[in-house]
Amino acid sequence: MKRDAPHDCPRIEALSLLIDDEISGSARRDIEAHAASCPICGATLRDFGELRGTLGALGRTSAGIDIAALIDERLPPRPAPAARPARRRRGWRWQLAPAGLAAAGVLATGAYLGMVLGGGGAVTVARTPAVAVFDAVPPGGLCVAPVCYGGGR
Amino acid sequence: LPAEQRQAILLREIEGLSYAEISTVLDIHEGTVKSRIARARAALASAVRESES
Repeated sequence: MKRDAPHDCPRIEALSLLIDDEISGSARRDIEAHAASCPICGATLRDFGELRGTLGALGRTSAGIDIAALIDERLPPRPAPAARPARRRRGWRWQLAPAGLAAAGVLATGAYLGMVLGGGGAVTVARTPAVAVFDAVPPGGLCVAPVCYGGGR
Repeated sequence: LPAEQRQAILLREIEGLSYAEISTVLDIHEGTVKSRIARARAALASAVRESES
């Protein structure tokens, strides 16, 4: 406060707090009573009140312009590197990776359960007589070892 | 206004924050907030008076 206030005047902080309704009760009444009789504090309180109204109105005022568009106009044209979309696509794919893994897991689990529950666990291979000669024991043979047939030593 | 006073008064009058909220935002004591706002008001009121005279 630039004006010279008498010594019994409240501090400038008290007047500011009064404007903000941060003082209540007897303290508030004392300051208001003093401001009513003190030309300096009374004028300061009025100034603060007017200031509050002015600044409060500023907060509700819209500039009415699109500042982003004005800035965009002044910026030089942006080069469009091909790397940026590619990077974005890669990121997009990685985002789907967990979902893909989960889907693969569900499919694998389903196939396994289908095999077990449907009897597919015991896979049977159709044997034909034509391929029996490739078996470890030839057709009619009783011995697994090749020495039994005179071919191995 | 000094930047510290300007911050405090704008947070109070434009953003409508309480003293406690301003204290948190600026990481200063609430008493400091009160004094900064009061000094800002006094300086602004003085500037307005001078501009009107």
